[in-house]
Amino acid sequence: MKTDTAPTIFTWDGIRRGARRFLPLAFASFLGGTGFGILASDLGLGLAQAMGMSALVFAGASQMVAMDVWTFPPAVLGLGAAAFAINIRHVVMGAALRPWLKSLPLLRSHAALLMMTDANWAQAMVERRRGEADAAIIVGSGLVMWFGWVSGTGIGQLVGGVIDDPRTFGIDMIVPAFFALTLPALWPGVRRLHPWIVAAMAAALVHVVLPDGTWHVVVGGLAGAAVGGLSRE
Amino acid sequence: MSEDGLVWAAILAMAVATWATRISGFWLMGLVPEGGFMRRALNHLPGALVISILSPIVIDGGWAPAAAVAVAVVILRAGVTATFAMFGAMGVVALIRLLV
Repeated sequence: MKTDTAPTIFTWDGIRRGARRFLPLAFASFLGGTGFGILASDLGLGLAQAMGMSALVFAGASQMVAMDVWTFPPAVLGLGAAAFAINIRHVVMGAALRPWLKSLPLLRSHAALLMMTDANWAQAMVERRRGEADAAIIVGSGLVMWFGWVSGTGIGQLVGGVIDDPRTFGIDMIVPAFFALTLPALWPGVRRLHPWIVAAMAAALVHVVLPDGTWHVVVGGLAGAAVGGLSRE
Repeated sequence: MSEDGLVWAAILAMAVATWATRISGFWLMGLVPEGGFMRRALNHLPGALVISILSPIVIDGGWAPAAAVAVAVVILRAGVTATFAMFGAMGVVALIRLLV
């Protein structure tokens, strides 16, 4: 863990290196953005609204869920609360970055935090362990993913209007497939599966009682986490 | 407020909420006790959230989302990138719908 204490720097070279290394992921982000743009167009969001959401929120999971529960007019506070609940994992990820970022000026550390996604956070943690000092790689890798995500959203929104029935190409399966992809990385093991079972049951129950909105996500998530917190490691 | 204004208000609410999640861990780091209930709970929170999102979709949607979830996981475990697994799952469901 000696490398963990390498002095922190923040340079243009780090931004460039992070960006170059993440070009393949920027393309994946572009394709994911296209999927989101199609959903948004299918729902009736305009080009500026869809791209604006991708540019400002920049968090795929919460945007996908928002499309799942969106109404016209939208439930402003409910959507904000749902975005907070779904992206709460960022809190834990940001906590893990603190030792690396704490000596930086606030503008720089927060630029890195706002550009943090699942992929470039995971990569940054690996690089740091290998002795990387330059925290600007998080900003560079996040920026190219951001450009991919926002431009993909625009293309998807434009293409989406052309497709009559989203079921034809399985577009209504984007949301379940997207979340299924996070399951292997989150798998707690068969013996520690009870938080997942409790979460599934609580979410199903709340969904039956309150079919509109995302309370099933909040209640199910908190119930599962609480059970996980109470159990032994 | 007009409906268009409310759409932008919702987008901004989601943005502010997400910015808060990205920044707050950095500040809360010192307050969370090591090895306690909070840390274990936070460990289990992401998985519990994803399961909570998926279970009502599968309950409401029947075989199609269940198949999409299964296909996506299988493709991903085969070592293919997440994006292709996503489009693969969509393709399989579209194909089954076409044939059945």
